[in-house]
Amino acid sequence: MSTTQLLDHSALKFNQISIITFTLLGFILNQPILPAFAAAVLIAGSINKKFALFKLTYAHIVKPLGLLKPNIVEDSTAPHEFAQLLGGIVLGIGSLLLYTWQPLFGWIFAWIVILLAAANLFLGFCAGCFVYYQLGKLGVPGFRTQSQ
Amino acid sequence: MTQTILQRVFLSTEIFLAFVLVVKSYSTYNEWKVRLQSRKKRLPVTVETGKPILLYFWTSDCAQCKPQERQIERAQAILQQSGKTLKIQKFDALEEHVLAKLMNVMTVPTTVLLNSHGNVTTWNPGLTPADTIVKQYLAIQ
Repeated sequence: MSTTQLLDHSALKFNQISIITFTLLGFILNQPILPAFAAAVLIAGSINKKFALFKLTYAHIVKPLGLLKPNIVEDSTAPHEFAQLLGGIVLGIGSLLLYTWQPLFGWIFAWIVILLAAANLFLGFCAGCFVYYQLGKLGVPGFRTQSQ
Repeated sequence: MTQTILQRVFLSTEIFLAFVLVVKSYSTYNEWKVRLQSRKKRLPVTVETGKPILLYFWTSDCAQCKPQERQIERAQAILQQSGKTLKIQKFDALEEHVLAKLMNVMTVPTTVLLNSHGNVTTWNPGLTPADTIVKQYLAIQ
């Protein structure tokens, strides 16, 4: 069952920008440590909000400096947490492949995350939400709540 | 080293452009599919016709539905300034699954604009900005 609370959508945007930046820079400079770092931040942030480094950077640096205007909305937290964990897992698998014997497949996984984050940021299409909705439609437990 | 970096920058640009092209083509294909489907099959009686209307599909657990509602309210306010009224019908995509299937709702939010004859004119999967809704509405006036 999901909970509703006040969410700053600019923090989510900054999270996506950070994922794209780290992973894309990792690809351009051929530095697997960068996507691996982004994956670690996403997974750790899903487990405990204290470790959500990108969101903390937004809260303590980006927002006070006025680089992004806060956009606070009362919203369901579950799909966002699900999307973040999904992104972290895919990027984590990619990073493992980069460090083992399959760098090509590793970068393919990394690019999937870059493109899906970009689709959300620039086209308004949230892949995590798509998966969440489809699972809800199939009646998978934990993915369907009562209408309000 | 510099050459490799440049090659990767070009490759990244190409991947982005190819992705945008694929997404736009897929979206256009789906829009046509919904248009054809809505002409072949009769709309459920719950859908109001006779005037252009925006069908808004949501679920209670949808991440982008609150921001979408804000965008719809903004679009309504913009149109109201020029004396136009944008009619909205809100549907829970999981409850109204027959209509959601007819309108090919793959994700939430999805907004579908119908003209006064009840035909689909535009199909927007995902978060759609107010300006786009306004532009789409004015195009069928």
